[in-house]
Formats: sequence, structure tokens, C-alpha cells
Amino acid sequence: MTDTELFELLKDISTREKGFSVLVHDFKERVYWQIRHMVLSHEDSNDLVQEVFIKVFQNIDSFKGDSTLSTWIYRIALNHTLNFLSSKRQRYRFKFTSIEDAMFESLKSDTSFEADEIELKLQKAILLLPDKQRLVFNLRYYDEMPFKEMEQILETTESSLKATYHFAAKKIKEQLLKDEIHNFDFPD
Amino acid sequence: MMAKNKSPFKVTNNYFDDLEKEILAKVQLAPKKKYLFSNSKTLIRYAAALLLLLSVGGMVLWIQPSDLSDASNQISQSQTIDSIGQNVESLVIDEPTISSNEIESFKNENHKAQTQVEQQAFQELELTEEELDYLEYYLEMDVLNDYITYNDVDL
Repeated sequence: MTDTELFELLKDISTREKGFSVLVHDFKERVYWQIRHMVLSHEDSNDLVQEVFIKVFQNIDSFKGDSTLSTWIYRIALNHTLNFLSSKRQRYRFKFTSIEDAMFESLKSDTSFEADEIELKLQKAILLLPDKQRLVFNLRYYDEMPFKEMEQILETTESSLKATYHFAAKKIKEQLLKDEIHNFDFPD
Repeated sequence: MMAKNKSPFKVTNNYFDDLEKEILAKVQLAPKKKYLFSNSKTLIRYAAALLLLLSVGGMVLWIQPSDLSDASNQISQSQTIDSIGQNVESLVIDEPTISSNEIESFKNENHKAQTQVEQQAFQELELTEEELDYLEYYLEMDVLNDYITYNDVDL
């Protein structure tokens, strides 16, 4: 089903539920992985992905078709994730450990995270990036999202996104070098 | 099941099927959001109207207090003068006690004096025949006739 057909289903109140089940079926995995790469924990991701789809359903009338449906959904998902991380960071403000350390420690004990030493160090390096830089890096590196699509979702310029991604990749490489991991290349 | 290439994160085999069911069940229970304003244009219209009302109200309030404050200043000044006067009077002069008869006679005298002054002024304005002739000579007859007719002047 195309975006336009799905949009038509969602606009009509009599076919909305059917349209929404198609939407959830089509987008759930991608939304989940985008959230998971940001928050790392499966439990948090599971909660957030459900909240995102409820938000999408509740706000379906405000979607006017100015962008593609996928862009609109990913934008909601990413904003919701950033808000979650921001409020989580607030909770960690008066704690002895930083949110990054806490996330990394829980990742190490996470059974749904199967990684070797290099992957673990890569995650540690990614966690050192600011949230928005991390978001751009994850979308490009894990989801292989084209910069053009990212431009629509994050409402910023393609050149700015490319610069952010390369800057993030450079910082990660430097961190990996400190951890004695050489020859780690990232796609452009 | 794995995400895209390179991702070390995993989920259980049927996770996404269960997730879909869970989302659809939750959505049916979730209350539909109702907005006071159906779209952003309506919101902007209401905000503009409200802003206009507030600015007009603000202007009125801004102008009025200055007038009021002037008036209150004047009142307070006069009150101050009165209070000073009262204080001075209370210090220097004893208020005289006047009976109601005395007040009445004073009123009558005052009235008489007023009528005398008015009559005197009227007599002074009364013209002699010579003076009227003199005026008649200089004034147009039609105008004078009109004046005499419409003002009931006894010649």
C-alpha cells in the first residue's frame, strides 16, 4: 500500500482503524530500531514505541499531508525519544553516575545485546556524543537512512547533517583509537 | 531477529507480532484527543483577536489612570488646602453662632440688594427717545422693526 492510499484510509473515520493497523504493521520495526539505538534498553524502547503509535493515532487529524506519512511518524518518534532522554538526564542530574555510564552499564548486562569487545567499545564511544549528534549518527550508520530523508525528518539542511555525521564519526574514531581499536571505518 | 546490518541489538522471534497486537489494543482504549482549536489557522485567528482586545483594553487602562491620577491629585491638593484652612480657622477664629431668623433676614436683604442692582442696570440700559432716534438714523429700519417685533420692546 502506498503512502497516499494509507493516508486516504486514515482520513476516513470509517476506515481509520483498518488504516492504522496497516500503519503499525508497516512502520513498527523501523520505529522500534530507531528508538532502540538511541535509548539502548529494550524495555524503554518497548514503552516508547507504543507511546509513539498512540500519539500518532491521537494526532492523525493534524496530519495534513505536507510531508510523507513516514517522515511524520519518524519525526514524532525521534522527538519523543529525545524528550525521554532529556527527562531521564534531568533525573540523573543529582546522581553520582552520569546517564551515559548508567546506560552503558545496563547495556553490558543486557541479554538482548549480543556484541563482541569492539562493538561494546563502539557503543561506549557513541554514548559520548551529544543526543542530536548521536541521533544523526545512528540514523546513518545503523538505519542507513539517506541524508535527503533525514533532512525531511529533522527539518535541517543536508549539508549540516553531513557535517554532523562526519564530525560524530571522527569523534568516535578518536575514542576507539584511545581504546586501541584501529582501522574502524564508517560509511560516508 | 536482528535489526539492520551491524546492529548488535536483538529482540525475541515473535516480538514485533506481539507489539503490533499490544499497540492496537492500547489504541482502542486510548481516549481520542480533542482540541479546542481544530487547526493552527483558527488558533492564530483567536490569538489575534485576543491580542487586539488586550491591546485596546491596555490602551484604555493606560489613558484612564493618568486622568484619574490627575483628578485624585487635584482632590488631594484641595483636601490638603481645606485641611490646612480648617486647621488655621480652628486655631485663630471661633465659629460664630447664627440663628435661623438672622439667616433668613440676611437672605432677604441679599435678595433686595440684588433686585436693586438689576433694576439700576436696566434703567441704565433704557434709551431715551432722542437716543432711539439717533440709533434709528444709523440702523436700517427693517432690522430695527424686526428687533422691536421679536423682542417685545415697548417704545
